[in-house]
Amino acid sequence: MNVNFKKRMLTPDTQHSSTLMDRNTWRKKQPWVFIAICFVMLLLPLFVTQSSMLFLLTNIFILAVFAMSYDILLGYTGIISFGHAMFFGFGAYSVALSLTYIEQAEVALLVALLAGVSFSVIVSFFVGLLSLRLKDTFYALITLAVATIFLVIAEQWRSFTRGDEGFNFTAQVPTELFGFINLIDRQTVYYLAFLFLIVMFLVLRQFIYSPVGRTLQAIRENESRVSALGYSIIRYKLISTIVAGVVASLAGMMYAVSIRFVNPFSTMDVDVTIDALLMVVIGGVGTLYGAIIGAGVIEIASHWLMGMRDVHPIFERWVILFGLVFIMSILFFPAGIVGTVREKWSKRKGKRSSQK
Amino acid sequence: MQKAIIDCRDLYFTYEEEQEWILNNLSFQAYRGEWIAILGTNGSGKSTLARMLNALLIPTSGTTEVDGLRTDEDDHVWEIRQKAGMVFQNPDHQFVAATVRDDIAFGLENAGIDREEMIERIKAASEQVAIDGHLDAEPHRLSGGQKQRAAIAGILALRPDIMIFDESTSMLDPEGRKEVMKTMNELHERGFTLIMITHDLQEAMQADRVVFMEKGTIVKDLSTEAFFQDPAFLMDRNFHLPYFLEVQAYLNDNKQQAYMLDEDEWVKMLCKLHSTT
Repeated sequence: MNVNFKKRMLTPDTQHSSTLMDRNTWRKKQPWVFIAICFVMLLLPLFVTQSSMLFLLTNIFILAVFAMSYDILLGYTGIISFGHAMFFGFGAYSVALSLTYIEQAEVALLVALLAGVSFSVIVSFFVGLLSLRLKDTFYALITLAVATIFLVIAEQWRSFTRGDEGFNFTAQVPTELFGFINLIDRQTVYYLAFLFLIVMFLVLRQFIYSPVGRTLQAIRENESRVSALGYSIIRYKLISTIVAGVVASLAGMMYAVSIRFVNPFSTMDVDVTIDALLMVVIGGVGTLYGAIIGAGVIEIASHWLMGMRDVHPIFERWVILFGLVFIMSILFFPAGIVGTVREKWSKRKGKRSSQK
Repeated sequence: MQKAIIDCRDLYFTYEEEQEWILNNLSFQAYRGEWIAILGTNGSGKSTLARMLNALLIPTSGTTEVDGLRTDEDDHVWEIRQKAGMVFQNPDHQFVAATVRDDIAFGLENAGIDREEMIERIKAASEQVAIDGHLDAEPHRLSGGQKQRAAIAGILALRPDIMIFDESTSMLDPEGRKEVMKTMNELHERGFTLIMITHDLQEAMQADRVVFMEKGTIVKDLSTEAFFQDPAFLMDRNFHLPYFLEVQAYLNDNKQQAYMLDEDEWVKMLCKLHSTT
């Protein structure tokens, strides 16, 4: 099998979509929108002094990366995973444990990076190899089973992970990383998380427009045809699961740096995976931006609803209200926020061109 | 004796262990340059057989050989898929790229063809199916027939020996069907081996040979002329006969005359008969 990963397509843009023209128009406008958003986000900490707001935005940036990693699976390859949070957990625990057990912070973070990434590669490779040849539902179930095993290990291995209570490692968080980075400072962590989001977004965008990314989208559209053309489906699906796993793990590392606390349920539980799924669905499956918007909507909605608990007792049951937010978003934005906006934009453009 | 380009022997296949056989002791040979229509009732295993022929499915037992290469040997899969291309049913799910040109290039990319040859192959393949005027078009803007022809071009560019059409006309309007059938005729004239899964008897009449499947096995394997001499066999299985064949069946109740498969010739014959009475 001769798989050529080099960019050799004959025309530059090969994104498959029924609204391709509109995507192109969007993409042309994106640099300015993108630069404007970056500018606002960079200036924001100068005006927002509330550390809780910076903390919320930092979490949105990090969870957006986690949701984008899930979108690579669901939106760009058509694979559903119920255990994606385990990779997030690997990242979070690798940072927490390294900072706890290794004295020198730089070495600890390097060890965490190597351990989190390599463990994610190994686990995603073997889980994929075991289940991706079978029906897609098997992947969903096997990831759920494997994630549960790791959750139980994190819960039971008390001497190493401190069990289900987890642990706080604020005291070990470096204040002078490489001599000048203070990871205790909220503003610093905000900028780091924002930089992390931008870098991961650009990397994943490059990935989805690469020949491998296009092949993944082709597999999502018509697996039989891609297979009949001689592509190795399993190989490409494995690439997708490994990339998604590694990115989720990196997001977990940043999450640990921001929260300075880990426990099995906040990092590895199936709820964490469901959150990523909701972020992707609300934002727009297979759009990458959608994951960022979905993360924003979910985090802001849950933060706001939780804050309303003091206003009225009904908000004690904020999760139910949160469910309503989700139902409404599906009703008003059936293709997700980004997907629906694109569709409307496409119809408007179509009307205009037909009037001309 | 010519060697079969497709040779299926004693095929058994099931998707799940406790399920009934989808293919049940099926043997089938196709020879280079033949155009074979595979007919059958729903669930007879036609599409499963089609998928056996380019190694999308591997037999549970028995062997499938494509130009001497066994489909159950992993090393041969890539070569087999180059030799036997497949056109699928739904024209809207055939495309993976933004333009027809890129879509044709998609299969070539994986084959490691260099850019110059790629351009040459795309030109040749698109001309063969008369889609060369739409190379820069977005596939979703094409008509159903054009979409299927573009999909055929994507396969032709890989220079296969065999083309498998898995109900490729079933979702097209009459105009689209005509376009695809015309393309199939031209490919047949150029010497391609065509395997066509279909429900449409009029389309099957254009083939050289008709294979009829029932419950995972072949119950009839005859030349097209011979196959259509027994319309009752098809009517018993709720196949809708083309009107001109139905009228012949009605007029030819005592089965004395051979059925004519060319509608124009049959009309001429009727006119001749009418003018002499």
